[in-house]
Amino acid sequence: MSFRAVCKADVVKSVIDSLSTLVDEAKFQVAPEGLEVLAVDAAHVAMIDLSLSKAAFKNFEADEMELGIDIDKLSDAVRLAGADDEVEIVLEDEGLLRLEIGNLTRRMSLVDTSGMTDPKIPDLELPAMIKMPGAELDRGIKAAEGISDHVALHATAGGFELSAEGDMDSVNLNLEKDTLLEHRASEEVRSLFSLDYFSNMVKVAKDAGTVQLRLGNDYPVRLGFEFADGEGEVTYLLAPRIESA
Amino acid sequence: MDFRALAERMEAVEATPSRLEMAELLAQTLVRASAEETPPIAYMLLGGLAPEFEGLEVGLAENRVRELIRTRTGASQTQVDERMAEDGDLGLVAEHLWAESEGGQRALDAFGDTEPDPELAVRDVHGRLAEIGRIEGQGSQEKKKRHALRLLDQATPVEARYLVRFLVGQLRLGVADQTLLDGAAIAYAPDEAVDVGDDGMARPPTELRETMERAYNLTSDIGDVLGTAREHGIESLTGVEVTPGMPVRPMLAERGKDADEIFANVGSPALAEYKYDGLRIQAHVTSDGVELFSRRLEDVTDPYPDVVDQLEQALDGTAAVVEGEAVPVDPETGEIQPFQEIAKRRGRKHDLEAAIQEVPIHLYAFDCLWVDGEDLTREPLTERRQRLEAILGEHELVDVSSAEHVRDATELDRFFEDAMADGCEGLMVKKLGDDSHYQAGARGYRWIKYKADYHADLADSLDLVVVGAWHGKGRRAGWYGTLLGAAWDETEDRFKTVCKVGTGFTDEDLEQLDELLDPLTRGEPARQLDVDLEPDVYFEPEVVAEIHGADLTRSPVHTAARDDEGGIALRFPRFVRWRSAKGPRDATTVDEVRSMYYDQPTVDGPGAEG
Repeated sequence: MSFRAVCKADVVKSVIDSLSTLVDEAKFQVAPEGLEVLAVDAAHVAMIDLSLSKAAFKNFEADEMELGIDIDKLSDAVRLAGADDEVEIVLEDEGLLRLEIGNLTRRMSLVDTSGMTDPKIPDLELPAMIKMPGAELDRGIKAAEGISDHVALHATAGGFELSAEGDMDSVNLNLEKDTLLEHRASEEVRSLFSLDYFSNMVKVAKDAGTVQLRLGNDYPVRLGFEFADGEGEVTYLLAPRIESA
Repeated sequence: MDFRALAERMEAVEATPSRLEMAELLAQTLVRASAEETPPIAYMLLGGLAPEFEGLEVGLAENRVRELIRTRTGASQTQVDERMAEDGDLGLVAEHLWAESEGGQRALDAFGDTEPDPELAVRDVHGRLAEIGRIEGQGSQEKKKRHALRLLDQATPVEARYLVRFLVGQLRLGVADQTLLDGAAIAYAPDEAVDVGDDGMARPPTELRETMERAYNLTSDIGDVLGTAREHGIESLTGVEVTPGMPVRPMLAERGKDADEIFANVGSPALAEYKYDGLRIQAHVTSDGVELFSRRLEDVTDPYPDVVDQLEQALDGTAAVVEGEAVPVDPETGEIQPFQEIAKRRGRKHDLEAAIQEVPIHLYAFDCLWVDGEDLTREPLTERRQRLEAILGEHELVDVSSAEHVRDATELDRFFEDAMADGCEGLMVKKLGDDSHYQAGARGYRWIKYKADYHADLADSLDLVVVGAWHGKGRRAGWYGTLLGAAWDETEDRFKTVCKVGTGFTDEDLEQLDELLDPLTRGEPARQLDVDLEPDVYFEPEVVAEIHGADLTRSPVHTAARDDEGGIALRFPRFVRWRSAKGPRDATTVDEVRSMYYDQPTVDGPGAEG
């Protein structure tokens, strides 16, 4: 079994940021064509499906295998690298990963994956789809964070609305249909989400440029975006908060 | 076993005030448990996750658990607060909100084609609670919360009640370890060995019950004891011996009033030992290292690295389980210092080294329970003392406690004077001879403490459990002004009130009041409490205080030792100090209160037996 990958530190950092909002450790499914991580947070409220194709790497040679990685350790290891520095990651022997960043070598032990479950991605009917700049969504979320711990996402035939309510205060971000990059909403849908989770996801997504939201009524949201020049893809799923009657 | 079944059992146990019925309910629960799930169930019925001495707790702050309840049910802070004011228990709050609410945070599992969650199994719940307990370090509260949310997400209302209580570390079932042993003896004994009383309740068979209790007293691991009995039968526990690393439940002493009474109980000659006013420590010394346990079986190795070193040097390679009193001494003169000096060690992680220099500890060993693989608990006291003297080498801060054989009151009093002159609080007088073996976990008349108390009219102070309080007025507004103290009724496993105490507190004591008592507050009397008075707040019986009084008198309002003439109360009570080393069931017992009452020269009565 061999694994050797070389890429820009930036790519590794994107992977770390995407995963660390939900999990401390993750199982990387490695194949000759690239890698994929499927992970669910401890509360089962959110999950991530991250894939990164071989093309995102300067060099990628891998057999099929599973690598259990402690995200904090990986983060520690690449923290010192500049965005454009090259990182070489090699499976040294079973259970040990070697990272080379310039003249710095860091070895880290792998995590046992046998106890990690394989989350199943639920098959969801999400009728509404919106594409918009990540920075725009992030602005709305930042405003909402100031007054509440949850946010409502609302798609109508006319556009998209993000709103939050505090005791006396409220925040609304209204985006008309024609200001959105893409908009599809055959029916009006609305769901409520915990900002504990959602704001961290958006924080990661905003750097991607364009983000895609898929929504239903009192239903999970799917937040998707690309990274590594389109060679990487992240899809988050977040379960809703149901409003008490 | 499903966790729901256990939760429903807990509900029934919680609802009964009768110890016999409780034992029977516990027995019915244990009979249904497999061998593997018996240890977790045993720990959980006592409100824990592991043997006490491992100190494993979920470790979530109560306000975090409140946040979780709000997240899961969608209830507002106000709703939770209002419920709390009504229910007085966060578990009940959760149960009610679970049943009423239709909102709140969902898990992904609730959507799409995901299969519904299976019923929560007891072992799964136990394993996950323990996992939450082991999460530590930076951001641990948030991580604990996420794991706990997952568990709560799967819970039914009654399961939520008990999960929430586990999360905040307050199960409040009112099950004592002894009652659980009753239940286990009924459950695991052959049917023909279990007698049923006229009331239709099963009685634990005496001999098998004793076998279980002995094994428990020697290992302090109730899960291990019950698991072994479940799998191999109670008889298989007869071979249990002292095991290094597992604390032995300490042998306790009764109090003695005068020489005549003492010799009547222990016979003559007896062994009189200095009673040092220190911290009773049980040291387990093996080639793997040293572990120190407190009287309450807590691991106290960390605050006393000096004692660890001293013992290793003194024992010089001998493996042993030794009991002694850790006494603070003056670093210059070696003289015994007041016990309070030792408390300066607490919470001093960083400058522990300085504390060790300022207040060195002298260990006075008085018993030896195990040496190099040999269990000595069945050996007579003289033999154990000899072994102790043989294994302890020279060390300036480790000694065998001063002791003498005493034959009569004159010799006892002379030695008592010596002890007082040397800074001790009195003597321990111990029975000698064939039946002077080490009775782990038992209080009896084989050991008697004989203390001087020049400051109070009463022969001794009482250690009472704080079960309620009235708010203060004037200068003490905003604090608790008066505490309600209770003694423990060993037979019924209930707490009974003895006095209201409002004097004797230093400012420091008052500051500690809130810290100690606030987490234990409840709106109604604790279930195990018998009370007629109506304090402003009630507390879960947990905190023990030493209280002095002038004398004991009959009282129409207090519930301790109540008979036709009323209860027994402590007159002119005065707070002395917190007894943090004592748990609620280490408090003065109602039997002791009764015998102290009848021992008063002005009282005619049925005598000490009550």
